[in-house]
Amino acid sequence: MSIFFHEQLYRTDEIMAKLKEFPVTICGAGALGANLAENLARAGFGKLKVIDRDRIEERNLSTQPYYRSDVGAFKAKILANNLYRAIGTKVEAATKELTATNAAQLLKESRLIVDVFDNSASRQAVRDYADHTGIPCLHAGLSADYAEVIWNDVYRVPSDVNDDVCNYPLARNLVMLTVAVACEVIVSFVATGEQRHFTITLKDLSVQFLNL
Amino acid sequence: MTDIRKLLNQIASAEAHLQSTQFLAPCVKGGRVRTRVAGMVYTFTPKPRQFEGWGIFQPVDEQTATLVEGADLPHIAAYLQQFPSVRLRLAYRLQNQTWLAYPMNEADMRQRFKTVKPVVVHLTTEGVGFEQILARWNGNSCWFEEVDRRADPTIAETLQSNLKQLTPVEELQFKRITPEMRSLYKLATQQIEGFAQPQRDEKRLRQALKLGGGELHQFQDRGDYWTVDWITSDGTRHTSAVTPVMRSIIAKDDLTVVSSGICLSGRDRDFDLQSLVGVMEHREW
Repeated sequence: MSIFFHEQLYRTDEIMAKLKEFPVTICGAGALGANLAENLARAGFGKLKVIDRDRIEERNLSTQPYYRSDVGAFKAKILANNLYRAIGTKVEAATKELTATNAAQLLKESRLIVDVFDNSASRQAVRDYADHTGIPCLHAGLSADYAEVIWNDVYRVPSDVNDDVCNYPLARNLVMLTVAVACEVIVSFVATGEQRHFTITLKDLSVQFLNL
Repeated sequence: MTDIRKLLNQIASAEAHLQSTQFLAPCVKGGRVRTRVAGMVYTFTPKPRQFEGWGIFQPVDEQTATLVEGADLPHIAAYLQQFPSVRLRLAYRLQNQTWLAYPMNEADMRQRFKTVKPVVVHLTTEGVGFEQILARWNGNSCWFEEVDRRADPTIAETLQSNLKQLTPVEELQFKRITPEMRSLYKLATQQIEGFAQPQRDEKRLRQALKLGGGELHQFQDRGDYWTVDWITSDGTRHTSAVTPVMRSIIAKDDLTVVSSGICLSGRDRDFDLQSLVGVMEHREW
C-alpha cells in the first residue's frame, strides 16, 4: 500500500503512473504556488519543480503552508524540504527570479508549466515562453473574491496595477478553492489531455466552467 | 597471503580515483571534512576555510577540498540514514551551529549507546533552546537531522519561560515533566552566570537596597517571600518581608514589599525594596 492509496483507488493505477512521471513546473511558491505544490505532491506527482525568488515573511503564514520558524528562508527551498520530509517527494527548488532571459533555462524540462506568480512581469515572461515553445501552460490567479484558472491560449496577463506585494485582500478559502480547482484541472489534463478553464467567486461559492 | 605491492597499488588507484570524485560531507566552521576510500579515512581542509554546513566537495590535492555546492536535503538525509537516530533536547548553543543537547530518554540512550551524557550536536540549523530534535550519531560526532515534529512544543516553551523567570531547578514543576527535562534545565542554567539562585537573590537584594541608600545585612528565603535584614545609612536595623515579583506570573523584575516592618497603613505592597529605604529613613509616604 502506498501513501497515495486513496488517490490511487479514486484515480486508477494507470493515471497514478502518469502523474508520477509527468514533469510539472510551478512558477511561484506563494499562496497559490505553495499550496498547489503540496496538493500535487500529495496527489502523486513525482517530478515537480518550484521557482520562486522570495523569502518567507510573517504575513505569508495565514495563506501559505510555512512555519513561524521558516520566516526569512527561501520559500521554494522550505517547500521542497517540507515535502521531502512529509512524503519523500523530491521537489526541485529554484530560488531565482524568472525573466524572459532565463525562462528557457528554468522551464526547459517541463511538460506542463503552472503560472501562479504574483506579478505581471513574471507572468508575461512565462506566457511568452509558453506561446513560443507550445508547452502547455496553466495560469491561476486571484483578485479580491474572484479567481481564475485559465490555459495559455486564451489567457490575458493582468495589468501591473495590483502588483503591490504587501497590501491586498486575500482570503484563505478562496486560495484553497482555487488550488483544488487548478489541481483537478491539471490531473485531468495529464489523464486526458483536455484543457478546462474555470472561474471561481468566493462570495457566492461559485465554480464556473468556462466554455471558451 | 596478500601481496603487499598489489594492496598498495589498489590503494594508490583508489586515491587517484578520489582526486576526480566529489564527495558529500558535513563541515563545522573552521573544521575539516572527511571521506573514506578503500577503508582508509582521508581528511581535507575545506575551501573556503570558514564554510559551515553540508557540502559537496572536490579534492584539489592531498590536503584541500573545494566546496562545489551546498548539499540538498535528500542527499543529506541519505547520508544521515546510515547512522542510528537519537532524540535529544537542545540545552544551549556552544558556538555557531553547534549546540549542547541532552537525551530525551536516558534509558533508551543507555541501552543503545551504553552511555548517558550531554551530547554536542553539530550543524543545528533549526531549533531553539529546549526544543526536541532528531540527531544521528556516527560513532564520533552527533549531527542534527531535524526538529522533532512529534514533540509537544509547549514543553520547550514552558522550560524557556521558566529559564527566563530564573526558576531554580528544584522549583521547576509542570505537567509531564520528566527527570531528563530537569537535567536538561539544570544544564541550561549552569551556563547562565549567577543563576545559582541564592547568590543571585542576594545580589538583587543588595543592589535594590544600595540604590535606595541602604545595606543588606542578611536574608532568608521563606518560600513565597524573603525576610530581609537590612540597615539604613544612619545604622538602624530593619527586617522586612519581600516577595520577588519576577518569580510569579508577571515577569517583572521587581521586589514588592509584603511586610515592611513598620506600619504603612496596609500599603506595604505599594512599595518595593528600593523605595522602602527612603520611606524608612524619611518617613515620607
